[in-house]
Amino acid sequence: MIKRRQFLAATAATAAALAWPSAQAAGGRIVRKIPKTGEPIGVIGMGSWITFNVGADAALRDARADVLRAFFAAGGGMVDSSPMYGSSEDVIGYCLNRLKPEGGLFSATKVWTSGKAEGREQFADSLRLWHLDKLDLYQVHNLVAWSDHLETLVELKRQGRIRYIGITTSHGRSHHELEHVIATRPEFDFVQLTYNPADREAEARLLPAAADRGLGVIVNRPFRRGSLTDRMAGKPLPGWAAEIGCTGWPQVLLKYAVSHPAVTCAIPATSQVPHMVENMAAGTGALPDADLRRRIQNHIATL
Amino acid sequence: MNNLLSYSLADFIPFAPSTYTRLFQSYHAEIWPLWAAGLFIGLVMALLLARGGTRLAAVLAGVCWVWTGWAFLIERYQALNWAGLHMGVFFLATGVLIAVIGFGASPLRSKAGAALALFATLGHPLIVGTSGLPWDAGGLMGTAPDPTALAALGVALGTCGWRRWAIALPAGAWCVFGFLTALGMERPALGAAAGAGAALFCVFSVWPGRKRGLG
Repeated sequence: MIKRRQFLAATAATAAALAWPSAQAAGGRIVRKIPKTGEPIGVIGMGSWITFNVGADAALRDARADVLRAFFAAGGGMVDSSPMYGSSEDVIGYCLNRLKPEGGLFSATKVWTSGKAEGREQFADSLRLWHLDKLDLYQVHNLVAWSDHLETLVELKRQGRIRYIGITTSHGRSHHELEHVIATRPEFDFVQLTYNPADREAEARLLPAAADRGLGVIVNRPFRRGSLTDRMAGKPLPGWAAEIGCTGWPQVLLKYAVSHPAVTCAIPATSQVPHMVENMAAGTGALPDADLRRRIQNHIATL
Repeated sequence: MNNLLSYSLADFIPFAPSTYTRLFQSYHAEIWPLWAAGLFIGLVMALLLARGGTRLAAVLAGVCWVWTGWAFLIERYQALNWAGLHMGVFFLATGVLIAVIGFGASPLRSKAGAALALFATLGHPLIVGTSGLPWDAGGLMGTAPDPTALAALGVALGTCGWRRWAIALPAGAWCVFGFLTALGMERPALGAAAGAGAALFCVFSVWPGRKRGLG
């Protein structure tokens, strides 16, 4: 149950942020500024959970390189992964080595281990797997041993080996602890959480808190791991979808996620080039306003 | 605990079903003709169990577990799932356990045990194949975890007393795990034989006919 004060705070944050129109980059691509630095970043990034975990399968690795090529061709930036995702980091590194993108990549991965020393080893492993000498964003995965890792992350940032520090959760878990962390530890630059029309817990406190603290917000599971898009498959798009340039339900979901004013970007995952093209198109054109966001919520709730 | 329960089965599976099934197919291409040898071993195990050759059947099962743990789980599956190493070690240890415990067992003719070994060898790929997937997409007896664990339940039925349960507990636990993994991937055919086999093992273990050599 959302308390009145929380609701008012969330509404105020939403209203304030709605007053900041998103900037449009070349090609009509919507970009947001990373709050702590003002660095622009495209609102649609790419996740790699499941989709890039293809092991040594040469054909699938090459197919994922095609997906990443389509991502960069559409102006994509943030690529997110984790040591927890099996071979995903290795496969991303393979793709980057093949594609050699110039300047577009915003690398984001995570530390996912309970030991401080193992965390340092994991960082070295990630650099090796990605074929990079530094990472843009390094996050504590699912708050695992975050207080142990924070000192390491701060040191890595001081050394210039990472540019931003983040912390993540998913599935709506640990929001209270995460809220406490971002309220008390100014070292964090980004928070990653689950947000979509069916998972809106973050609206009550976390998103306003992130906006209040000047944190970038990365949205994971915008399709609820495909369950929302599966549920809506074959259902006709309402007329209002055309108002925001959507040609499919995935675009509606993505535009919903990134139209929350506290959100910096969303990181949908896909293994198919047509879906990547469709996802990236959601990062262009108009975004739903507060009224249309409500209609999207209500419509999806009825399906 | 509540946090853990809030996950779905699918949340524990870090790869796509197609990646999983392709892994088996590339594995089979790499280890040919060993996968055929594994199927042959499965048939031999069924014959042995029907004739009271539990000891040799247990040794063959143990070898298959060790091979599967090393060649599949550690060498290949680990790339897709960080827990693959732990699973592989589990298979290595259980393989030794099955061979040692089964070799020391009093021979017992078990038609039900033979039936389970046969089901693992032929029934599993048949079920997978009739579901529309390639017949070897769920792995094969002797070289892949689920059918190899299922055949070990057949070996367990060829023993009695504590030996039966010492073999059946790890093998049955893996069968249940394989069944749940297949459900999580929304490819129930991949785990149908393992799930049905674990249930059949329970039925055969309490079936009155076992005293007459059925179980």
